[in-house]
Amino acid sequence: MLRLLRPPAPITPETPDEALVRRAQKGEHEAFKVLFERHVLSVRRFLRDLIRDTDAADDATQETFTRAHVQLPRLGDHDRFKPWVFGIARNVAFEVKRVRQHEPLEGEDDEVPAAVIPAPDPERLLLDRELEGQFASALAGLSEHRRAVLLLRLDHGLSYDDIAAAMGWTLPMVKNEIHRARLAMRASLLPHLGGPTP
Amino acid sequence: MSRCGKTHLLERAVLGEVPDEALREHAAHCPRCRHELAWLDTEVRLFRERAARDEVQHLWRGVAARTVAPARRPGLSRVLVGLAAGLLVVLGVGRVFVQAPASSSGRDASIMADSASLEALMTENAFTAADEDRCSRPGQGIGFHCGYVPASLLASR
Repeated sequence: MLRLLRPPAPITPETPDEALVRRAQKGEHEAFKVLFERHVLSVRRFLRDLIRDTDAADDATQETFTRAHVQLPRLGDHDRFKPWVFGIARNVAFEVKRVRQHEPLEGEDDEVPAAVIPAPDPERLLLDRELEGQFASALAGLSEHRRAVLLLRLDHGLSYDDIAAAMGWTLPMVKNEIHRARLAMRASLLPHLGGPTP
Repeated sequence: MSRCGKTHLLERAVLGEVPDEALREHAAHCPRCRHELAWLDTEVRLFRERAARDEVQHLWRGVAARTVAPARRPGLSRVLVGLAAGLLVVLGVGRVFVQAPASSSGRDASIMADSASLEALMTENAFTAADEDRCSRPGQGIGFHCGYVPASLLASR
C-alpha cells in the first residue's frame, strides 16, 4: 500500500528508456518528452539523410514522434524504443519520398565497385567543408534502403537484429546491404581520403 | 573488407560495443584488418563529427503541440488516496447522522429510568400522616431530623 502511495521516482539521465516507455504509456508526458530529447537528434539526422531536405526532415521528425506518441501504448518491448522509433521514421521517410516523387526509391549505387579499395590516409582526414560536402554526397549517392541501413548501423549504432526489425528485412539481407553500402561509400570517399593500397 | 573473418568484430569494436584493445593489437599485425579498421575509424569519425553539428531544439514545440498532454490519468496511488479520503468523509458524516439520534434516545431512556426510580422512591416514601406526626415533633439539635426527604426536594435533584 505504501509503495503504491509513493510518488513516482524522478527522471534522471540514468533512467533507462524501458522505464520511460512504461511511464509514458501510463500518460506521463514528461517521460515521453525525455524519450524525444534522447532520440530526436538521431532520428532527425536519419530522416535528413533519407529525405535530403532539411525542412522536410524536420516535418518528418515531428511526424515520427507524433506517431510514436500515438502508437506507444502498443509497444510491448519496452526496451526497444530506439529501433521501434527508427522503424517509424523509416516509414515516414518513404511516405514523404513517395509523395514528393522527386527521386526514385532505388538509387544510383547499384554498381558496387568490386576492386579492393585502398585504405584512407589519416593525414587527409581533416574535416573541412569540402570533405563534409563529399561525405554528404557519398551518402546521398546510396540508394534509399542501402543508405538507411548503413546509417542505422554506423551513425545510430543499432544492432543488426534491430535494423532487421526496423526495416522489416531478414538478417542476411541487412548484412548484405550494409556491406554494399560501405563499399559504395568508400569508393566515393576514396578520391578525398585515399591512401596506398594494402 | 577484412578476409580474416573479423570485420563484424572490428565494426563492433569501433562502435564501442566490445573492447577494442585486442582487436587493434591484432590489426597492427594483420594488413587486411588494419585496412578495414582504418576505414571503419574514418567512417565512424565522419559520422560522429557530423552528428555533433546538429541542432534540434525547435522540434519539440511542434511535437508537443500535436501530442497534447492528455489529462493526467490518476495513478493507482492517487485513486487509493481519493477512495480513502471519500470513505473517511462518508464515515464521518454518517457518524453524525446515525449516532446523534441513537445518543439522544439513550439519553431519553436514561431520564425515563431515573424518573421511574424517582416515582418508585416517592411512592415508597410517601409522606404519611404518621410521618407528618413524627416530623412535626420538635427536633433535637440543628437541622432536619425526621429522616425523610421531601418529594419536592427529590424532584429538584
